Amino acid sequence: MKPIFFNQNNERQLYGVHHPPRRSKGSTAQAVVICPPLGQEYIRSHWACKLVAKQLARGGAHVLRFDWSGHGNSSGYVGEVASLQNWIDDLAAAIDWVREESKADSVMLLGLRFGATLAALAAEQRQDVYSLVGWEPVVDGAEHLQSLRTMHARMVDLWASKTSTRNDDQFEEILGFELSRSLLNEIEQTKLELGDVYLPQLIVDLESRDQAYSHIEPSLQRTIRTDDEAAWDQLQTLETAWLRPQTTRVIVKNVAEMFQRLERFNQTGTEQTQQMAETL
Amino acid sequence: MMQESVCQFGPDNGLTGILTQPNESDRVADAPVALILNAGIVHNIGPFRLHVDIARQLAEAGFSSLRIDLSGLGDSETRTGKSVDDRAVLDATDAIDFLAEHLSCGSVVVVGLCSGAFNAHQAALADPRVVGASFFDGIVFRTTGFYLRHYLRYAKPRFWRNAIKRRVIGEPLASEAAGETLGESEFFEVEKTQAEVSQEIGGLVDRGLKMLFVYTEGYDDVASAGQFEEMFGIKPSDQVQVEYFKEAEHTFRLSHNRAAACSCLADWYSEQFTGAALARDPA
Repeated sequence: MKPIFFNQNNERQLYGVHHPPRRSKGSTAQAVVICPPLGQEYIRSHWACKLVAKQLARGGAHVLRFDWSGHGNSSGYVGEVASLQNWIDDLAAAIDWVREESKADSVMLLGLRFGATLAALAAEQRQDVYSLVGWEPVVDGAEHLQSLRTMHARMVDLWASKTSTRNDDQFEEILGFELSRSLLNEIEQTKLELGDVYLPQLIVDLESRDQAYSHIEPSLQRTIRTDDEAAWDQLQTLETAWLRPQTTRVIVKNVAEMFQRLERFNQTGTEQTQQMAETL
Repeated sequence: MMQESVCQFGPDNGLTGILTQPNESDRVADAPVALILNAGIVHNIGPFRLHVDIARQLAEAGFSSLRIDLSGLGDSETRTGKSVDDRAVLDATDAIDFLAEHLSCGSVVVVGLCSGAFNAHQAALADPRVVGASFFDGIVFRTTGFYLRHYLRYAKPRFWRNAIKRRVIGEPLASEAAGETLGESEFFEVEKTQAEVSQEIGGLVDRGLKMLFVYTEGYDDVASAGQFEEMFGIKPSDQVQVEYFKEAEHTFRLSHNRAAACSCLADWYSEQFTGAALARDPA
């Protein structure tokens, strides 16, 4: 586990932790970038992201988990983030860093909650994303914001004394963090269409969540339903660590299989290239 | 512009911290570095990123800080072969050694919230290089005055309004955002008597430590700033400042509460650890 700052040449210094592979597996370098959730969900799931990173590294992958701008130890404040593109650019820098470190040709993006949404948006702008893992992804930005706003309103309403938080034409405070109006508008308009992302993808979502997934090429998409408890919209667990060891195990196993397929694909490609070279 | 960098220290450099340093032109000469310890199991950024806010505000005021992950927490590796009880003090000592070696820093101010405040107390007792401490919702004891003030809340209509609303909407009481608050025993074990802690704080006063004690209304065992003297028999003074944040929740969930806490700490730090203050009353 090696903590680092990267992207220092740009305005936004980003913090990340590199988990180097504990053993090398196959001839294809494996690289994963973990995209955490936003806001308080990021803090709650820090431990879970660390655990999945460690296990993937144990399986032979270079894993980078990092903090979005305005989050964790990365520079700035979340209120300074004016557009989702800022975070997509962060992820691009993270992909570049892990590719440089691992010498991998492509990376897997593993996103949790809105991290999955941002991963899918970033994948559309890159040619070097090999696959996506969406863990309880936020599919509908407006619905997501509504859920957070409901929790926030309830928390403020039940405060020991009458109180209020900032909510004007520039900023709105939601569950501890002030967000810019322009960013909120973008989140509100976000609809995650995983079916349009033409990449191998693993979706891990709750059985209890009424969210259907499909893909124009069904073999590209695998959906796993878990019986984990829905926990993101309950005020009483706002500061409780979010841990899902059983689901983590399932994800790690499936990610290993996805990398095996990549390895086989690359081997086939290499053999075909050799055959072509011999023929020529 | 302030600088933030990663530090690794301790056994096999397995411990992680983020060093925040002020712009060179803003730097207060010879000031101690703030050593910020984890609150509970939240990683070094602190609950609702409080520790990052503290570090950056201190840097704006000219002071450096190191916010660390204790062994086994956040991005620090586990320390093996030592008891959990020793762990925080050993980690803090390693951090202070690192600061001494790499920053030529001879003194630190320990800062912590909740269990972090308890660990800061232990580190202050253990290491003579600690010259100041800021305890947020740390070790407390219920006094007669506490019970009198605590039960006054039943006279407030809002207490009953919130209790009824919580029941109606089905939010459990024990961990609610405000109103039904959590106390010390739900976060950490003190295992010391009131007399022992009073004696220890008295010893820190005699050693010359500058101390800031902050309590919030969201911490169930404290009901006013006046409780400090009732608990420890020490009058607030220039050396021992006590603040009570009415309406603030234990982890400073709301931005304006968090900003007020950071300003309080930065103002106290500037007052106590600028050149003039250090020269006037060397620790």
